[in-house]
Amino acid sequence: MRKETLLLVEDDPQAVILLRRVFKKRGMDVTVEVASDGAEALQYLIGPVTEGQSARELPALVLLDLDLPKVHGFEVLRRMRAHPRTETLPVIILTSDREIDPATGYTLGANSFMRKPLDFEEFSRTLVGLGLGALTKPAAREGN
Amino acid sequence: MVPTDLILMRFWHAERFSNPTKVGCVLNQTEEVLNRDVFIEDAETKVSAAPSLDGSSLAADTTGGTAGSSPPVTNTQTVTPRHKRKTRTCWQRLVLAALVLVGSLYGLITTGRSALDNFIHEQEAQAASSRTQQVLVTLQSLAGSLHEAESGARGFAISGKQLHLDQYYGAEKTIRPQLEELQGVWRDDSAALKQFRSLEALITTHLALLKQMIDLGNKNVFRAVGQRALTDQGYESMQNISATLQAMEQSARARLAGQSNLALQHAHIARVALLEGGVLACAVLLLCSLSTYWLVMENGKMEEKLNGFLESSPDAIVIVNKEGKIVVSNSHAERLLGYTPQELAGQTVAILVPERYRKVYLQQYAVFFANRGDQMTATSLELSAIHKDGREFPIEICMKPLETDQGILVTSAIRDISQRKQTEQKVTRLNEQLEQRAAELEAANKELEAFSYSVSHDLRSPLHNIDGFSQVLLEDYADRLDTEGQEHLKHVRSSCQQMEEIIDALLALSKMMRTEMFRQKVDLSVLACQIADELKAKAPDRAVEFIIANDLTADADPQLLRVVMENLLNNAWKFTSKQPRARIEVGSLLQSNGERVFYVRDDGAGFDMEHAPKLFTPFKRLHKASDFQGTGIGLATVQRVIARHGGKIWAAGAIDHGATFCFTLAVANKDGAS
Repeated sequence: MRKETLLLVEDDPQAVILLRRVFKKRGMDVTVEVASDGAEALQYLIGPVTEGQSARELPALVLLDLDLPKVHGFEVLRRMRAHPRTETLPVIILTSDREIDPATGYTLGANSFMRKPLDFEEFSRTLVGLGLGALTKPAAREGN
Repeated sequence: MVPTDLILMRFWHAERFSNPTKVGCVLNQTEEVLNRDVFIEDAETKVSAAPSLDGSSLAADTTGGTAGSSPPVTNTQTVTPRHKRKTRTCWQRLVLAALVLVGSLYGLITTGRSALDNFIHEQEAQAASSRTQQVLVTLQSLAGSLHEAESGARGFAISGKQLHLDQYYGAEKTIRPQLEELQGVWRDDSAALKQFRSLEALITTHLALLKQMIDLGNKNVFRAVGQRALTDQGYESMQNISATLQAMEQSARARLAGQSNLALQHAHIARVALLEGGVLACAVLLLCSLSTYWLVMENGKMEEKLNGFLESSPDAIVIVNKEGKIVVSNSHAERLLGYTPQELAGQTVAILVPERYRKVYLQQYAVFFANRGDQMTATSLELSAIHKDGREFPIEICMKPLETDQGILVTSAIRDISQRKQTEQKVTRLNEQLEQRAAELEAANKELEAFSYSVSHDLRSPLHNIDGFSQVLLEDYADRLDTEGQEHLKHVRSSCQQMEEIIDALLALSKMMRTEMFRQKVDLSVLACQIADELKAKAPDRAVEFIIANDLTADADPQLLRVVMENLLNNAWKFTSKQPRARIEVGSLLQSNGERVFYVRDDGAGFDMEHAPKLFTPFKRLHKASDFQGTGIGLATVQRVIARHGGKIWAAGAIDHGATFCFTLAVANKDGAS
């Protein structure tokens, strides 16, 4: 069975390292793709395919930071929802900003709103709620 | 000189210093310019009634007399009737004077006519009397002539001498003209004419008799034959004539006496009439002189009063006619503008304002002159004036047009507003400074917000990373770290936790200042109980007694008041943690000024009153972090919240004897936000 992909939109490489470790430690068998700014995320998801590249498959989930260089997380979300390709793609906002009202994220079409540092238990419950419970399952089925 | 300036001045003052009803009253009075005297008196009364005027400004002329006697309070009611009464009196005076004048003239004419008539009558009587005297002379002369003729005729008849015949003819010749003369004199007097006819007949008969005697004399028969008879007949006839003549003379004399008497009477009446006329004329002349004198004096007084008014005005007054030429100005104008009233008279008003203001200034005049003056209200302009020495200064000019018998005049009251302008500029400058300060403050607040955001984000993320990697080390590398190394890592994590709390507190503090505030009635007792329950739930093993007064209500923003109570009760909870048994009280007191003071008291660690001023400063901690955990921001937040409500907070305490925090919440404003 092919591994599911998760797009992590995060500009802080250390945070990326920590999140990768958490996923690995918790036995999540997913390919973590990283976009380090909003523009890169949009290019990855809905951007035109450049020469020599095959059309990229969409990830199963987008973990979206908000305070991003170039394009703000909310803007990324808005454009994704405006595009037919990513209209219904599951998006979880993950931010360390305590002052942002989750309602703003939900209004723009986020599926969930979480604060850093990531509480993995809450995260897996959310994934189950989104019908993505399989992502959290260890890849024991493939026998390794 | 017309009282326009008075109206204007009063209007000016009324506008500035009086209430609107007085302005109305002034405007009403402007319509009645007729009675100037009354006007001034009222004007003075009015002005003296204006409370905020300085006494010296308009008290200079008190010749009005009634100014002081009229009670100022009822002024607005009493002015108009008094005015009307005065007007009536003046009218009555005028009518009376006119009547006296007309009567006097009538008297003069009547006496004049009477004197003239009597004089004519006297003249006539005099003429008649002289005619009568002439008649008397003629009668006497006629009698003489008849006697002469008689004696001539008789002499000739007796002597036949030519001498007698000549005498007869000489006398006979004069008789006829004399008779004709008498007839001419009496032709209008029928009675006298009748007498004359009989006389004429007698004379004719007598002359015929004398003629007969002459004829007999010529024939020389008289002497001889008929002498006797003729002589007797002639004598008888002559007697008749004499009697008639005598009667006539008597009647003429009687008439003469009557005529003289009449002439005397007429002369007397004429003299008396002339005397009366003269006296009357003198009286009229005297009256006229007195009236003229009175009018002149009144006018003089008027002028004096007006000048007094002009001079007593606190403003420079310049009155301008339709041609834009200055008619009158006062000495204030001289002081203000440097030109004497004589210099200004006849000058164009444009010289008083700088070139750039002339257009607007003259336009305003044009507006006044284009409209009927009395339909225009006063206009106030702020512009600059030029002093005679060329100096320019700001003025306020109040212009009021009025129709007068000299056409429309515009009265301008000019006031130097240099000081006011300076004050205004000062105020403007201060306001600008204030605005700048406010802008700076706002910028500082924005900076604070930006800083808070930066703290929230830029500090928090690395902190999370430090904590995250420390956790990774503890979890994944525990076998390669000895116990001490692991302890150090735990301290790193604990510091991260603490720093996270500080960041949260800082954000909360900044949020206190940023969020909008809505005041409402809050049940403080219920709020305190909720927080106490939360605290007790966190540490159920602690023995803390909460004594919370009932029915504590406050007028405050519920969210912010919760922050206050949470912080104060948290502190109390925290600083009593070392007591085996603790007691925390929440209550309120009523201050002597009626303000309610809320308090939170504990019997915990307390503090040194020396450090009380530092209590509410951010990051200032009176206790060691090892003794009591805390961010040092809680009380600073509380103080800000109380300050936003317009209240005050203070604390009292002693080391190991607990602490009491007191605060007030000012009464809400109408809009509910401060």
